Amino acid sequence: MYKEISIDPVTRLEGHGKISIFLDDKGDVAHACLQIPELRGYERFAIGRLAEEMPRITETICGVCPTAHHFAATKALDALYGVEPTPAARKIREFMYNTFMFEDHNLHFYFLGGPDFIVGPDAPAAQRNVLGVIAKVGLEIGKKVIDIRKRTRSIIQTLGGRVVHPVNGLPGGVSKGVTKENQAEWKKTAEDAVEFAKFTLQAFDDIVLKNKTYVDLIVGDIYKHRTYYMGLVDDNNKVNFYDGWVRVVDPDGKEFAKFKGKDYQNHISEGVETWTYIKFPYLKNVGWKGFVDGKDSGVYRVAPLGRLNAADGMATPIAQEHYERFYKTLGGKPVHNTLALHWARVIEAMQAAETMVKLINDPEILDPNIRNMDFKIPKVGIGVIEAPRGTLYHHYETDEQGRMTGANLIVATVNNSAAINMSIEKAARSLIKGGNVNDGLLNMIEMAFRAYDPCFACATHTMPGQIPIEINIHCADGAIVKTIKN
Amino acid sequence: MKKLLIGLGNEYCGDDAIGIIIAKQLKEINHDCDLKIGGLTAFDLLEAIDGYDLVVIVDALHTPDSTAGEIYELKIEDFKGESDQSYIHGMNLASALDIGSRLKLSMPGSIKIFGIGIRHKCDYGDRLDPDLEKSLPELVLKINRIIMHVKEN
Repeated sequence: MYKEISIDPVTRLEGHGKISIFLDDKGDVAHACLQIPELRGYERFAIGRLAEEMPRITETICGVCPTAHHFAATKALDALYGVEPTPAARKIREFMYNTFMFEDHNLHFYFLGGPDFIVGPDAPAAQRNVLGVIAKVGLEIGKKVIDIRKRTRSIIQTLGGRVVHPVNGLPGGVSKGVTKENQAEWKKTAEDAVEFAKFTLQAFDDIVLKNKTYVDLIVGDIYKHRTYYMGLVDDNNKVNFYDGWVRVVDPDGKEFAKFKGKDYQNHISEGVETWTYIKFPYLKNVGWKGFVDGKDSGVYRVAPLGRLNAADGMATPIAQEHYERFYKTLGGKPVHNTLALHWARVIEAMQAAETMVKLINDPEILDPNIRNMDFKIPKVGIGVIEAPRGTLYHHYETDEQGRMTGANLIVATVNNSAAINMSIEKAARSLIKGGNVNDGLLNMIEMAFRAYDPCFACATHTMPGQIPIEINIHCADGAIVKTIKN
Repeated sequence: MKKLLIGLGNEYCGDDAIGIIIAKQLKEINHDCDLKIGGLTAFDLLEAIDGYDLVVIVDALHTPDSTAGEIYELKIEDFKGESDQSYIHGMNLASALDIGSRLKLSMPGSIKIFGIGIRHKCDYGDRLDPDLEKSLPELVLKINRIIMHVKEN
């Protein structure tokens, strides 16, 4: 006999979700799950449309990470039309993409997941937000966050045409090049981004790593799962956000698979459950064993922790130093502690900033040859990229006129959907005993999935906009015995 | 006077595109205004409105009491208490302005907010409901009259 507690929808993540926690008669957790009631119909909506529209259509899946969809779609078009971007175009795409990764990761650290640590998981709800963060780190730092975000987004605006929903990705290249004036200005922005990333890593050190309670929370068993990990790596097995090999390591850290994105269907299957619209990708060659840990379970994780675990290192020197410290502090590779995602995220922000510096100083980025138009007859195109929230796959099939006949998207967070469910259930089981539930406990359960920085693909809201939060506690016969709302 | 038109919405979610469509049409009449469209978060809005004197925001509106095709002129006060500042999509314009004022950023002197009542919250497609489409010219004119009044004063 079960009682149900629901957190509907969840706070501080992108998209709509509902957590349901079922208690047994003793008030302990029998089962918990995350249900996604939102249906995103883009794969059906795409059929019949011209493939070249897909970078502009799919980026409207989300208002927070549109650049990831835009470039995954652009890369799918490269493959579809059998064309490689020019060297300058590739560098422009990578520069813009690393700029996006930098600002998105900072957004999460300071405004989304960061409040859990910066303000504290037990702080009152009214303080666990960006204003609480600003109150803790100071007004000047708050202004710096806004300023660096504005300047990096200005780069995306200039190159992309729009900062939200950019339009510059084209098969074989990009629509706009980098001028000498841009380069001069953006060199300074990139250098400041590196300094800001250093500041953020120091802030993480001072606020989180020097606080024993927080470190115990990170390394504790509540937020730990032994899973496989997936991420893009370059030819040297170093983390790469834009391109490379998809690499998978097992729970012991050993390489399990390494493949090109076009072969993803040989390695990934997608399971479905009747109680949610979100799918559950798993490793085909291990198999689906349910929502369980371990080497025999095909559950894998992506996003910053997945990427760092799947790689042999970072591609830039300062990020590499922090990568080494990360593993030394947390007991070696791979790290299975979910809350370590926050640390991995700020290390990645450092690599993104360093890569911005490297690319904007490369003379080839000024080359006006930004488009290769040697197109082939289209049929199938698969583009893979590392979105902030994980590996993102865009798979298009078309007729010979380039009209879409089929599409499959594995949207970054979806890779983590099984693990997110497992994390919520494990945290709930550990924290809720004897029916004792309070706001602080519920927030700690939500911390389990917020660390993944999940994005369940939201559209804009109608006005006035709010996602209502409702927690329903059900007794065994289904009646609601308690409701908590915001 | 620096002026900005903002059309909020998703162009592939049916009537949710109404804010974008109206803002674009207002831009055709008001050449001296800048234009921003799309799925903007609260932080996007905060960055977008910096340096402007007049900001006009148009979005779709769907509540139990709203009527399709009606124009609702809203105030910032209507959003206070509705905002959850613990996550990006819970933050609305009121939160954005609150953060902006606490950080002592420059905020517009006048912000006009229009919600257009819609019948369907999010149907996939790039067309409006036919009745909403028919009322589009009148909606644009009504909002433009209000904007002109603000400009003149």
